[in-house]
Amino acid sequence: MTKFLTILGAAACLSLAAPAAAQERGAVRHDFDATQVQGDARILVFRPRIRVGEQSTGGMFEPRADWTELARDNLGNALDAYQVRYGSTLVEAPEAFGEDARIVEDYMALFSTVAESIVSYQFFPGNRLETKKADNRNEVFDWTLGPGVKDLPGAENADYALFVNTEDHYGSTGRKVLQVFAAMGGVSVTSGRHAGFAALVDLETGNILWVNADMQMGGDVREVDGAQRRVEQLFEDFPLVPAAAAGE
Amino acid sequence: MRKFGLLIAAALLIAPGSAMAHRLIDANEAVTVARSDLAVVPQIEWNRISQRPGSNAERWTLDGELLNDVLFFGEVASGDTLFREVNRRETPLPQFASDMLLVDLPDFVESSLRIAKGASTFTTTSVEPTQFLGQGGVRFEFETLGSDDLRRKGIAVATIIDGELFMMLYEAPSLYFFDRNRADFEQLVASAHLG
Repeated sequence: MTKFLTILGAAACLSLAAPAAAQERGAVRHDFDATQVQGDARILVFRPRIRVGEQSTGGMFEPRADWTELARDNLGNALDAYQVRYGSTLVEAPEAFGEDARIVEDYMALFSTVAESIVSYQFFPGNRLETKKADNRNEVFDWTLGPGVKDLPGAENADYALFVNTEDHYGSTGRKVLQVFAAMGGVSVTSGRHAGFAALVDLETGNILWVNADMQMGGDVREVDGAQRRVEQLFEDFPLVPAAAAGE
Repeated sequence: MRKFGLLIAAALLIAPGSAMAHRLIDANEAVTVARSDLAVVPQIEWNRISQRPGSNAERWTLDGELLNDVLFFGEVASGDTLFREVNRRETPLPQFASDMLLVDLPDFVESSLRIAKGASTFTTTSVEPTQFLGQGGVRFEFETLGSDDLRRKGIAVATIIDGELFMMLYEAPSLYFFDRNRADFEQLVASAHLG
């Protein structure tokens, strides 16, 4: 059995090493000109979708309300600090009720699924979809939420929308034990999932202009410092110049 | 120890790095699908996902199966399942039976999709007779809510020939994606023939 696991582990290391090293984490739409978002542009910021819970030994997600509450406070404060840095360009989306709230929730879910698809089928070059490669096989980034984003509450007064989603599954004790056993066999079993997605969306077309997406982001969102690290990672290479720097 | 070994093996199977390259399906060329005589002539380029969803199945997409999922099933015989088993012991997939009637197919597809794709709700919104592959068939539309909290719509067109099931199915998020490529799916259905 041990010998079998060792062979399995060695094979796994060989098959996983190359794509993992080549994974991308951020992208900008091929025809996006970042100067468009400077100056008078208005970016609507939606309240982030935050989920925190435990990952069972078998990998199932079990939500934890207390951790989610902590993460919501910590990430909220870290995001507020970021928002101040960018000045009046970032506008908080209006509180939504009824049908409007449902539309926001639906787009948050769609954004999350599109971001996951970007990670799977764009950011792993070896797994990239052929139709996403275009003729030159490079430099093309074409993903969208569709022009229906115009219906989002507040969209009529803004040019762009900023979506942020985080989902953290912290490994249970059983999962961590499995990870140790797997490592002994040379196999990499992830304990936990720490997905973070942030994107700037064109409110006219729904096109994703800039995105950061990673299924294993850093920073423990249950801690103040960790949440700050997470937000820094989410906004890495954000195309907007901070208000202070722009005024210099 | 054995349980851990199995879990490790399962982890390997789902690791993204283990996937092989996906194939480009050219436009305007006839192609047979799902290891069967079922053939279609697409008018736009598609991607064929390298991992087969089932032994008699094939998956095409434009942006990933979560955003546009076209499934072909060909020559599904009695005792076959539509998809690979997810958890044979606890949630076994229903098996096709050659004596099924066309009207039985929506329920069969619903049970299969709930298990294979993890749809938490599934509502059949219409069922009507149609012509498919030159035979009498059934067309039905449905709505699902996935484990990712995303509402999706779907269409399936199916027929049974000599006790074997042939079916094409399209599912995509209700927001934008379903409507964007509905006509492309209908074009695939219209082009379908037995090669």
